[in-house]
Amino acid sequence: MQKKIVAVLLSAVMLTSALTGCQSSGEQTKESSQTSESEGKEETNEDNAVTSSGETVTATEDTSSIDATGTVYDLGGLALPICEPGTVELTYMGNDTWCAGVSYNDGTAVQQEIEKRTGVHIEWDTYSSDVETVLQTRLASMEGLPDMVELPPFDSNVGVDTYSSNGVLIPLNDLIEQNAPNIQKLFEKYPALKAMCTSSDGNIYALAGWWGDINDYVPDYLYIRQDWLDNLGLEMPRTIDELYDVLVAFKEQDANGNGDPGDEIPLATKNGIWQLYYLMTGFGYETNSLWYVDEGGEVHYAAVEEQFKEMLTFLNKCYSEGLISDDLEGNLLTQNITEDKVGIVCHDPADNMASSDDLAMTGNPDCDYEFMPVIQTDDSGTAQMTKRSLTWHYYGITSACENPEVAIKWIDYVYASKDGSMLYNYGIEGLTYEYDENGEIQFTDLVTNNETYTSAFSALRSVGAWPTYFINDSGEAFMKIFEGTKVEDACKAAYNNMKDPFPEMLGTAQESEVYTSIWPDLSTYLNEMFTAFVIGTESLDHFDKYVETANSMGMQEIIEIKKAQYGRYQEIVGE
Amino acid sequence: MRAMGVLKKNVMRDWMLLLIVLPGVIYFAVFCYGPMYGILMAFKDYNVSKGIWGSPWAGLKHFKELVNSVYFGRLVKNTFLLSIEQLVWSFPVPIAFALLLNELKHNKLKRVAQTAAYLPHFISVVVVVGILKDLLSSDGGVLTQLLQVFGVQPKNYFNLPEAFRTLYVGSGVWQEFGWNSIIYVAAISSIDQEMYESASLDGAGRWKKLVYITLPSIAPTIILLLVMNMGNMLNIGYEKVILMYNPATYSTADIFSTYVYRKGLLSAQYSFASAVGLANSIVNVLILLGANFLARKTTDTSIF
Repeated sequence: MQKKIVAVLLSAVMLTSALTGCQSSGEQTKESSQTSESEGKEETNEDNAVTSSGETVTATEDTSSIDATGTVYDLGGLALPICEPGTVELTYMGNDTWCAGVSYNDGTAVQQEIEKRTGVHIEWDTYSSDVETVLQTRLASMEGLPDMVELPPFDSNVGVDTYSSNGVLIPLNDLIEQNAPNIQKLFEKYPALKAMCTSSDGNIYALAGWWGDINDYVPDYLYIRQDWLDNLGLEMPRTIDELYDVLVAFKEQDANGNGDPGDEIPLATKNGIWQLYYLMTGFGYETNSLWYVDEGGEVHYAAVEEQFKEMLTFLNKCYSEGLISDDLEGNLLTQNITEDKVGIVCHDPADNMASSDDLAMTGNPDCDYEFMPVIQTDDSGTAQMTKRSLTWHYYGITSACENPEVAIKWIDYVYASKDGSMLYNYGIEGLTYEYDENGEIQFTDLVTNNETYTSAFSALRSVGAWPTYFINDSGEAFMKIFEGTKVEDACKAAYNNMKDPFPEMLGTAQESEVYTSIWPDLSTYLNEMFTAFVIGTESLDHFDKYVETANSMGMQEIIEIKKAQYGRYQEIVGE
Repeated sequence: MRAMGVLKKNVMRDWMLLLIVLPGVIYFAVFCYGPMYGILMAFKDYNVSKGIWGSPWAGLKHFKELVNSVYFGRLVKNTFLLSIEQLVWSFPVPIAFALLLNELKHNKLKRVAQTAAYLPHFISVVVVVGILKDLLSSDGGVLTQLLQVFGVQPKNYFNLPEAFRTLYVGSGVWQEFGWNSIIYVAAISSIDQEMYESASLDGAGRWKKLVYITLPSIAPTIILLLVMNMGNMLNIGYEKVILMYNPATYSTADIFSTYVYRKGLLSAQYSFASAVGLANSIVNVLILLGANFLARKTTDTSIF
């Protein structure tokens, strides 16, 4: 080990002396972004001190031998490279990129850049479909375990809890404390993240894919055809009664102006009619989340409460009057939007609203979807929308990993450091973004004007940015992508105006077992009855019987579990 | 000792035949009998890290969980009804089609008809369901519009529990009848033509020939396939049902395999899933034995 460190230092010194001042970093950036793998183009820290943009770099002394393309940002105390290039190879198994035609397994520019900067070579073993099954099978067989692995989300019955108790995952607490300054800082910034990463035994076995930052910005709600409202001379609905009037107007009049008053679908759901619970804020609820905590700190599940019945009654009335699409699963939604037929979509995050616009514009260039304000019970209502969920899947280090220190440092870099985050959210300087004369980041044509990947996200993903591994998406970068669009307006309106979702805590072994045996059947029942009440195959007179049945199937036990988890969350967050 | 000698002699004599049968034996040993020890999982609390042997025994816990599930009655009913309806429709149609095809004397037309009939077999079930959903959409679907001409109010048939089985079986028959008729067409083509000639001399018309020559000649094939189909009766795959059902139609569409998919695979309860699979297989074997017994009693034809 000692020898290795000496070797790293020596090579670092040699590189520095050999290359100091050989090229200005501005040119360097351009050239090496195209040949990002070619050797002999190393830059030094001295060159980097003032970059092409004129921004001062806060990199520490340790970065002297980083082989980087473009600016090196704050490393937060992490020393790069993590290891001498070529000495450590780690394997990662999980989701492939969400960009058609590109695969991590083939390598992308951002992956290569991360490898250049960290010196760690990653063998990628990623899958674009059926990932859960592949993961489960591989983890179940215990053979050929990767070093780092993506794990199912918090509410999965075979997730972090299972794999930590059977020894697949190793505890990360000490590793983080000793090697990962940036992860520690992230935990300080977001106590909720720490709470959601902590298992019931107090250890951290996995890091949650973190959407806490981006979801401060991105609302996920209903959106409506503003141009239809204008056509019919209507105001944006704010209360549930106004919403009803708008739906009726969409239904009865020729809102899309094509001469046929009968082809409009006033309200359609995207992922199943069940999603219409988003309208619960119109019936006395403070937010649109089925799991919620009241002022007294009690945990509730809305769908089995008397108050919920009012909403079901309303939805049933709407459905029977043909105001809600009978395409219950949302299979035909895209088609209907394209055909200029859908008035209100329930529900989508802000960026998808823009894609719906694009779809409808093929048929009607005036199409203008706008986010709706949260529907209130009456004019004095103060309900807020719930943020999208804060975590995604988890990521852990397995017992098969021979270099856990290197792995955690690598994770610290990509998951939590400023430098990693820049690569991750903006891509590579010179390739996907540049600094303009004001020192502002501007995306290049590759992102804004890409012929193959028309959305900025896809374009960024096609070079490996916005990855699916160790997710920690930046809200600022999201806003940058949508600068000057109506998505930005919607996000700005929602910022600081949303409630935190119910905490997504990892369960104990016992909780998981109870949850596993009860929840699949129960959720089927709840979903089925919601649908039956709305489409009228079950009379709402039977609501009490429905609550009774849900309780007999274990509803209260599930609520108890959520209470316990909420208690643990409170303890860690310290409120 | 003597038995050994006989065995040796037989092996020496039939080694070529044995060689031919060997790949089949290996296949069944490796892929069918080998994995059977996995049945143990149904009686254990399977834990991935402990493996099948190391996991603790759970007795009949998972079977009890299945039987005690609120959905058990509905699952049994739906699975049986869907299977039966499937058998009732999808079994005779290929036979009828093969018989009709046999009556076609124009050779080219016959070939075109046959090819056209079995082409849908090659369409992915995802596409078939997609087409069906489009055709039946309450909002501009072709079939919906057609029905409207006859005064039927547009409905989304995919939301009607009572329509589910019809849609499922109907689309299945459409997709598979041509393909399934191939074996009957082959059986018919091997019937001795002289029988038809002598029947014609005796004054038999087409109908008589069909009833007295063609049908009895392919009866063994029909019974064989019927018994085999019975054995597979409850093995309805979950893929197509999952593509077709939604919460509004669970009441008729939710079957064992979809239930196992949701509960066993999505939430990785391997032991529970094995228990359901095992129960399903036992029922299948019983049906198979029953069907075989009946076939042997009534027609002398049976698979064993």
